[in-house]
Amino acid sequence: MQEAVQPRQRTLDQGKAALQEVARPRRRSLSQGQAALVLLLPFLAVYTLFLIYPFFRGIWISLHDWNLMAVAMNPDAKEFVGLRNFERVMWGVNIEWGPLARPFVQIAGLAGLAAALYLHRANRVSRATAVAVAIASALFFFLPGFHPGEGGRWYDRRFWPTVGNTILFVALVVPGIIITALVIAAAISRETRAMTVLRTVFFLSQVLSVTVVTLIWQIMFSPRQGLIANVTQVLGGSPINWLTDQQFAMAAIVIATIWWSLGIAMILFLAGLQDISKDLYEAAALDRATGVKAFWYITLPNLKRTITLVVVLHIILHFPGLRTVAPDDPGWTERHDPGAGPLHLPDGVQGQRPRPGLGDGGLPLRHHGGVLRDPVRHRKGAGLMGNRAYAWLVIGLSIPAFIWLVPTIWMVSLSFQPNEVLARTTSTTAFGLIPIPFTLDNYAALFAFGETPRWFLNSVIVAGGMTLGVLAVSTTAGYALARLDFPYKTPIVILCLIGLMVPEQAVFIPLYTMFADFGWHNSYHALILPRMDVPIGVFLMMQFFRGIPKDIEEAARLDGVGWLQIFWHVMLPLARPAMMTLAILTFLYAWNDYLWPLVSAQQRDYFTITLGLASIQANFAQAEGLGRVMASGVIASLPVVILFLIFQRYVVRAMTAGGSKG
Amino acid sequence: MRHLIIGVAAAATVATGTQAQDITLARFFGDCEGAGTDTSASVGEACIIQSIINAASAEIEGVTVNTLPTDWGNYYDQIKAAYAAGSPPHVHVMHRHRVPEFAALGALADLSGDLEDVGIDPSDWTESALEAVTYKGRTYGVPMDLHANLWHINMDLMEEAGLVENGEPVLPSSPEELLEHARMVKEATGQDYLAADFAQFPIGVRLVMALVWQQGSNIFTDDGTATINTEEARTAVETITQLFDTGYANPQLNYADSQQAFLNGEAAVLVNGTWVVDLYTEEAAKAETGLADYRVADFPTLFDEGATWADSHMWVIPSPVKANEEEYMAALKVLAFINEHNIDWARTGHMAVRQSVLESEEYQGLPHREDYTGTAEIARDTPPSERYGAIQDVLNRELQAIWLTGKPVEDALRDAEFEVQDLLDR
Repeated sequence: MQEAVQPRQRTLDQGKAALQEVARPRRRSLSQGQAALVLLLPFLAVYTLFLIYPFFRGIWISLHDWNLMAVAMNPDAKEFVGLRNFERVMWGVNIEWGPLARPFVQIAGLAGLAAALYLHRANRVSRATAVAVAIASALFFFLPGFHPGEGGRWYDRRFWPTVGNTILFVALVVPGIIITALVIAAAISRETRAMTVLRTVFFLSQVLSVTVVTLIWQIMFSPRQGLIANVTQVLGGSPINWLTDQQFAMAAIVIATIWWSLGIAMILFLAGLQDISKDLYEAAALDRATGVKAFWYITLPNLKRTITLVVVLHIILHFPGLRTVAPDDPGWTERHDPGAGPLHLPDGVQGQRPRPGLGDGGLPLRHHGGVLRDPVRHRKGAGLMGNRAYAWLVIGLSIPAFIWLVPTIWMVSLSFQPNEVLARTTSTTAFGLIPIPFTLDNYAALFAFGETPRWFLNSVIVAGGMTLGVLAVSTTAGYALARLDFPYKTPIVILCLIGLMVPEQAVFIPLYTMFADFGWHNSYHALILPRMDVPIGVFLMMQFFRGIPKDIEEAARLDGVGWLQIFWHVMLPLARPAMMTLAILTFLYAWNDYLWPLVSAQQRDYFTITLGLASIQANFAQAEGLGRVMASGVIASLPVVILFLIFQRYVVRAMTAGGSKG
Repeated sequence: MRHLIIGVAAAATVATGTQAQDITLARFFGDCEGAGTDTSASVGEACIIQSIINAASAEIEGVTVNTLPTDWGNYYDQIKAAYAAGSPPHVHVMHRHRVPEFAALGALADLSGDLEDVGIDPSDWTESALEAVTYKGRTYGVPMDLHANLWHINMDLMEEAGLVENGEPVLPSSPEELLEHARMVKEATGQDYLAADFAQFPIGVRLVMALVWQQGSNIFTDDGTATINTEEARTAVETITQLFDTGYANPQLNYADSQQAFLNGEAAVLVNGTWVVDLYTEEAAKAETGLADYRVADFPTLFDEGATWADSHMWVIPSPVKANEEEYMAALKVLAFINEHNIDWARTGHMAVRQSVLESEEYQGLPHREDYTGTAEIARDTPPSERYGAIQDVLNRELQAIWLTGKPVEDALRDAEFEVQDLLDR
């Protein structure tokens, strides 16, 4: 951390210099508490209005038989039913305990009880934990025999299998990502130009929106038009029905998800690797432990914390697959089963579209906290490696990197091919990876279609507005929470923490009805406001402000400078890099946002580009206009990809913040 | 400053007062750009309906029509969400089967008595069309078509398999014959006998339902008792699965794939609706399509009585629109315009709803029209239910579980009956 000291000293000096200018005696400045109130106000307002209130409203709705449409027609058309909706979800309507399920659950309960007892005896867990586990296990044991539900039914065929599918999904995706990311990170963990390019390639897919990723993979997996099918056929195999075959549906979703969300894990591992002392490897090299051996005995043990972090992070990230209430979930307007509408794999098969399984990938920064520090500084050059070995490594890595890029290249290439050709075959030249025959018609048609420019502008307005809003709310609140003393500070921080855990879907429908009551749908503010309540932004800024040395403030206070002046003239300029990171990530997130605009913007005039292009995709039969659809995917992705390429280091910095600190 | 704002606002109100009435319209059928206003030249559902809407916007004085974007997959969720938000469109399309659900909530404007004011003559509608838009004795919409499942046939493959007599396709009259024909096609051509979307939209459900009806049974009764776990349903399902088990049909094709397979000459029969007749006629005329000799047929009777799944598209006005007389009248005029153009819509392959159109020479001269004259008579659907959509979802899921994941038929039918009963009881 040697080099980190210098920038810190520099910021200190800058801060002091800035202070001299504003350090004029004031008649009266706000007390610390008052200043905190002023700074926290925007955050608390947004947070209460768009998170806390909808959350409780959602609970209120869940206690009713509440048909949204019926209630809109007649406000009295709802009926209080207590916990009946929850009851339905838990033990549903379908079936009694099977002869096997019951003993199985009871044995699991007993095992839990035994484990709690043992762990407590062995002093491995605290008494409180042991008691909690014991109670949960006892519940498990007694539940099956206790109350079989109305009419002897216990088990909802829809809810529980989806839970099972989700667990399986996470169990496959998380190790898949960890292993792939770790291997790639270990291989490219050097600061050379070639490695930076490779890193970019592996990270690129992470910035694409859910609609684009779904589009690419839906067609990649198609048994008729898909690249995979085309390659299989040339190799003499018969194409697989990836998305409708029971055996392959899950594999398909897992592959697409790994492809999409490998980036964060990879960057986190890169940061972790960078913290491992070079001396260890040098010492090991003396003992002839290099390559795989060094990886096994030095790298892995030293990455323990990072691995834990990545595992937890991805479990959180991918469980939203469970929570992704697709609005086309049959009957979401009809009933309110909280939590219903998870991963829709009827008995293991995804019949219609791969979207739900892809999770929301959402705000990448949603799950990161920690102190901001300088971007990853890798070991320079080839390091311990010989030049020749290094060259081979780069060549060797180019192959997986190319494979990683193939889906994207394919999308771009198809977008430059004529639709009539694509209707017959998607693999004209080099499996369709080279756009021959070539045409610009798809793009021309897209822009001739009047609305694309408007959607583009809408996206800029919405993403820009959201970015500014998030910055304003996060910096003020972050500063107040980090640096000021005032009553009820801890409860507010805790409240903010709880907010991190409220899934988007829990407040989705209440927000929708709330905005409907205000008549706010189909407007820019409806698209921007509900997304400004991101507590993670506050956390990010809070962590940053905490890292700034106290002396600046103290000096300023002695000079009689008010808290707000300190915030405005000193803290904000210092926070510029952190704000930049937050801004980029918010912008990326806003640009790719799909679910909220989908329901809030019903008129084409207020479509964002992600939404508008999704509507084009939905309404053109793939067989007719594949080139057009692909062109739309390219156009929708272009801004985020460019933004990412320019501001890469800020994105990477956000990802690594806290990564190595664990 | 305040005066200025009020002034501007007042000016804006005055300005809109003299402007055309803006009517928002929601529909499915897919997008068609460049549909123009020539209602007699367009091809395919999306373009025909869009050309009618464009023409309505251009020709009805003082009314402009703005088509809202919706997509097929979640049309009803989007529409219901719009109602829930208190901002339904002025006019929207829906299916006959949704009328009980929407009308029971009071969501639809009662049009009884107002239709004549804009020149719509309900007595010109066929009996089934009138029935489609009627709920508890009141008229809630303007019907646009009767549509049903047909058998779309590749005559070349049938010929090769020896299944053409006197220039007519020979269709099965029992489950055993179905299997036999499938075997003949496979052996003679190497292609599948039958293709349909068994993996996406509920077209497989409609197929199975038709076979259940043909045995005089149903999936639920008028008084709301689910009857899915029955001998008839099992027979119907096994009639289909025997084709999968023998490899004469592929259950894994979705809507687009099954259509593509048929057009590529990879299936002798495609089970799909009336809505694609003009599209396939046009495709068959192209040299590069694997389908050259295209024919249509009524859904064959494999059991005791004829039956095929059928439904109607219709146009409605949400009840809140009625509060504003000007908007309501403008919306009615759009409905009248669509009703006027029933013949253009029928060009898709759908059956017209107006007697005067059905009897017209123009209608009878449409391609393949004579191939499926029997369909109107065997058109069927389940009893009306407010839970129609949810019931279809359950059936689709359980049937897909049978042919895509090998779930035992017994289990699937039992589960489906249980869930459908639960839906009917709510």
